[in-house]
Amino acid sequence: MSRDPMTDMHGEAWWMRALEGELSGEEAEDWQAHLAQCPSCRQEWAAMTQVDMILRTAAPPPLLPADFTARTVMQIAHRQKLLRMLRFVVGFLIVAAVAWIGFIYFDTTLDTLVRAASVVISRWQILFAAFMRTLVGLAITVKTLLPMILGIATALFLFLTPNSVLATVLVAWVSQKKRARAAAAM
Amino acid sequence: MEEEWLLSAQRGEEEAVNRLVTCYQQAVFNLCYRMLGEYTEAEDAAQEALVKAVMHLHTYDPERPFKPWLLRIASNECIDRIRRRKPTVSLDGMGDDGAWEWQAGHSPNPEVEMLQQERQVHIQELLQDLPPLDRTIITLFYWEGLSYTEIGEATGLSLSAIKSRLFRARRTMAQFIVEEEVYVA
Repeated sequence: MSRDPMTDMHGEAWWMRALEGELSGEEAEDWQAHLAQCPSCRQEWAAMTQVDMILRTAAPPPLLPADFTARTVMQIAHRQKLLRMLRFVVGFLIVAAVAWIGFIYFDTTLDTLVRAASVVISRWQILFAAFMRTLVGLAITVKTLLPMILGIATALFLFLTPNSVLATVLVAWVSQKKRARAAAAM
Repeated sequence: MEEEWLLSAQRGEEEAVNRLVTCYQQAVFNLCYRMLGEYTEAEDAAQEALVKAVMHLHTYDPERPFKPWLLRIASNECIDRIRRRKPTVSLDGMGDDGAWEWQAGHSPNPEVEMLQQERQVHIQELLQDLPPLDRTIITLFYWEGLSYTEIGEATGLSLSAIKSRLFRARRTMAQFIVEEEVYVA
């Protein structure tokens, strides 16, 4: 005959309810009566309440040293700086890789490519300006992308683009910083 | 409001990050100390956990409570360190930094107090022998004051699994007491 786990006084479910104080009045009386008659349960119950008391009355851990906050914040700033540098380098390398592959695939020289790009850019100037505004918008709204976009913009500037691209990005970034400082001052 | 400066910290504002570290550093350290049992290592683990939390703040869901999310990172950090540890660990009761100096209460009977202290050390040894996840649950329940729901968020376990693990961990420690026959009247 299988026992109901919720009423089996030797079962885990009953013991969990007893420890949590979830027994009804009648059940609590039955439990005390059982403990009086069952030496093994009595012994284990006493030990578990002892464990509970010991854990609850344990001394609190020691305090942290006074300079912990400063060291941690410095470490955070250092990691964030490393991450920004990494994103800048990754953006730069992506464009460099694409340009390099382009050189190899099209079997051309850098001069030829720059001349060809200049022609394309001059013809599609409006589209290109829209593309750069999109990049700038992304950099403003998604701060974490800013280093990568700066890397891409720098690489584009070095390999293909007219000076106005980098200038546009820099102007937008400086404007955003000024707005943030003004908001913080308010 | 906590939500506002957590959002500020997510945006990378230094003052908000500073405030986040200041507010939660002791709670994180307490968990690491209970789990690792050694002051210096717990300090390193706490710092690493806080750094990781800030670097991954973009993954935190502001709709959910922050403390369990943070303590989950700390718990995982401690579990990783425990797994990387060498098997032999000195458990002679007291480290050089006074670790595991548990207060046994103020008993007028010095023998009783000594027995209590010995039992505290034995319990701590057993705590170190518990699986890391059970140690986390014991720590969060008894010393961080988290509810079962919050412990669930910190560990990724269901409510029933937490209650069951907590019970079994306590039962294991109780059996140790019974075997050692160390009682205090």
